[in-house]
Amino acid sequence: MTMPLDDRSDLPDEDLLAAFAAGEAAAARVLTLRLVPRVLAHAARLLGNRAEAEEVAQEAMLRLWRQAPHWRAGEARVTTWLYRVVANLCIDRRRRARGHSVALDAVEEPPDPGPDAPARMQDRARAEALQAALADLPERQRQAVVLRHIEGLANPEIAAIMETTTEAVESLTTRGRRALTAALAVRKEDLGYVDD
Amino acid sequence: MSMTDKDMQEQAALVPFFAAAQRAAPAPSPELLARVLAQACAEQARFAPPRPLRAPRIGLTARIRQGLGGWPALAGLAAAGLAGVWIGLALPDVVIAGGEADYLVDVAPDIAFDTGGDF
Repeated sequence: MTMPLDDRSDLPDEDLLAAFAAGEAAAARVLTLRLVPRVLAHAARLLGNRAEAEEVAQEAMLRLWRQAPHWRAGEARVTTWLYRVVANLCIDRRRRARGHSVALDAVEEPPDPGPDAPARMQDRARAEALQAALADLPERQRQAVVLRHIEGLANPEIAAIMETTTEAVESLTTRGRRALTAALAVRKEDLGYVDD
Repeated sequence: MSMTDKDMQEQAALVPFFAAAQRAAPAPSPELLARVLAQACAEQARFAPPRPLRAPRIGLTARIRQGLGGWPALAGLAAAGLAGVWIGLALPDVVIAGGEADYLVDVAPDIAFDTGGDF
């Protein structure tokens, strides 16, 4: 889907949210195109399910629109707030779905095969294996590992999202990586895993 | 907490997996983007009435009134105008006394000649 961006596209999220609250329709368009991909990807990584991730992304964005008139500038980053909302929505869903098996289909289908098809197949196999291993981690370890190593956030921002200390984040990511290493080492032959 | 050699080895071994996960991020469908945008518009309509594209037109008389300083200034202008009319109508009936005529001679001889007669 292509939508024309206007001159608002270089503004920070917080300014765009204030413009949205003041009635600017263009701000909603820019925020949607900027934030929905991140929110959807994060929900998919936490849930391992594309359809559920879409529902969470839509619900999180709806909460953001409703929060806009009450947003207090300088208090939190929009992305910090959104990641926290997404995590809470995902935890709620996983608790409700406990006992039901959930298909892991959060990994995007690769495009048409081409000359680099074997590399892309290995990439996909690694992404699926990681997603399966993430699903077995405790909630907070999974959240910390995803935020740190896939979303690429710094520990202080992760601490703000998870409402904890940076030391606790480091501990969660270390334990999470250790569990992932153990889970993936089993498949090191077919995944090209290197551990020594 | 500082990273041990083992931690760093584990992290390095996981890097290709994290990179693969980043590349495998699901892209939002057009339908999802449209739903989110529709919700944004609906919420925005609840708390922020749509902004007019341009300021409402102001009539010529209103713009002149604003330019002069509004109704209080216009009232002052009207009073001054009426006073001018009254002075214009009343002046021919005014009799200038001798002393006043002398004064007028000093400051405006032409007027003194016309109004005061021969000296």
